[in-house]
Amino acid sequence: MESPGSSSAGKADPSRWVDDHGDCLFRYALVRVRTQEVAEDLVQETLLAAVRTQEKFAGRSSERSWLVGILKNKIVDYYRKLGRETTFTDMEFLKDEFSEKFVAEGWWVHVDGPKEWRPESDEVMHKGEFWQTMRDCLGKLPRRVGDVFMLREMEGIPSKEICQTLNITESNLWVMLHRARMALRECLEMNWFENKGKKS
Amino acid sequence: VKVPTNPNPRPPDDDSWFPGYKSWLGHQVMLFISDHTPRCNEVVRILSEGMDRKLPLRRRIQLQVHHAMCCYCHRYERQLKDLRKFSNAFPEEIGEASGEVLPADAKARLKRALKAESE
Repeated sequence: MESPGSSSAGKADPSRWVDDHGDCLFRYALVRVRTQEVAEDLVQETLLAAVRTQEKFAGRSSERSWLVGILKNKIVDYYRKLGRETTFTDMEFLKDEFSEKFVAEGWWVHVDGPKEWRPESDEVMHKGEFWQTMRDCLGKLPRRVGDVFMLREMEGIPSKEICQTLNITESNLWVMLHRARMALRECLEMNWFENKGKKS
Repeated sequence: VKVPTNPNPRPPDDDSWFPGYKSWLGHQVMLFISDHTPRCNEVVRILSEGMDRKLPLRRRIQLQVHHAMCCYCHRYERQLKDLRKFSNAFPEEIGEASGEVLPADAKARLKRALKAESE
């Protein structure tokens, strides 16, 4: 049997990609697009695009990272096509000024302000349970805001590029990111750092 | 000299340099800082913006000065960086943990599509 990832002479057998990389690509897409159907479609589009461009792939990188690279572009394309529609829940979420966290003059309500996070972040990241909490908290963000947060913070795409992709203004993007960060910070603090994290 | 009572008390773990409402001098420093830097609800917005673009030097200095009287905004700043670190690692961590696989029928469909495409 041919070893996975080898770029032996001639064309690779594309159906082998499905067995070698299918699950990995699927999982990659699934964390980023929420529904299984979309994730499957994106994997298919990726592999079809790979068939068309495999001559250009000269084995400079591993087969896996080449395919993941194509998938990344497909994911951004997917969000571009979704366009700029904002849902009602997004609007409600964006209106929230977290006013209960601040006194009228604008200072934090000190007794309710951000707590020191213990254990430290590096230690937290080794705990499987923490990632479940993170997933629950991300899941609470309204769709559009969650998408924007994912593109910026998980994929590390520069703000300007996100604005172009989604056709939104930079200040609009900043508002969405600010609210997302505020909500996530709060959710992690309440559900992990002041709760499970403290006990473990 | 008398120092007024804090209408917005600080919990015991507050480690701000100039929390105010303790000594007269410390209180004056706190008042001075609060006159010359944005309020916390504005600071958190600026801190978030700072995660997406480089802030002007003046702004960055203002933030550091503000932190001297407000450990909460300082924590907030560190936590935004933690949040980025968590988010970066998230897809891999949760992807590995999930053990999700591409369903068999999807695999079969994919293989058929690939075959049709390469012919």
